[in-house]
Amino acid sequence: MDEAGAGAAVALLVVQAAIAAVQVFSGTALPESTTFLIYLVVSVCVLPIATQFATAEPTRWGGAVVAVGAIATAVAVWRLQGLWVPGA
Amino acid sequence: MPEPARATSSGPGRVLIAVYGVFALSATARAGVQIATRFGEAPVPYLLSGLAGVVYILATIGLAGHGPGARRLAWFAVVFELVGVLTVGTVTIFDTGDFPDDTVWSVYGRGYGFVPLVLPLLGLWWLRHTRPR
Repeated sequence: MDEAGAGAAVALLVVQAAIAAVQVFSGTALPESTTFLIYLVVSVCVLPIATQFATAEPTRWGGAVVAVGAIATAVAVWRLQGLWVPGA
Repeated sequence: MPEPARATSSGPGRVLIAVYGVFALSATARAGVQIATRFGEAPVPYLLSGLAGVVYILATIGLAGHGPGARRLAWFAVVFELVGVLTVGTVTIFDTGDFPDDTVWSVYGRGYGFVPLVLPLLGLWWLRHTRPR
């Protein structure tokens, strides 16, 4: 259950990252493009790593590990929104 | 046979390591970008961010590892982190001149939801809780 939800979220994040990366590399100017691209990578990678890390934890704390990854991902996406100021 | 109940890397410890990992990543990446792109603007906070990133990496490694060496590393890193966040937090409240740009530890980690202040306390509690008796 955990993993299906995380998988769906990661699939959407990959789509978002692909669209954003194409735009950045095809000429959309951002004031902080390096930072933006780092957050883009983070937004995609953290949840799979957290899910993997959680599967090694047999107790209920495994779910909390996924939650930490989900919060970190949410923060990364929120930062992406703030950094997306094309042409500024 | 080792005693898994006292390992720092299982149960709540695994959640702690996940949070430390996130902070290790974000502090180090942030400092890396700042130092690489605009170091001259505010060298002290950027170097401090880098130092904080390294401390978070060491704490993550220490907590995730096994044995007395890893435990010592974790103690060192978490205590360093607590002293760092208290020192930088206090300095940035009274004097913003030396810190024109935010670090992870500015104003006790306000920019990061005060997690940098709570994290070392949880770390110390966890290390004490799992210590060999």
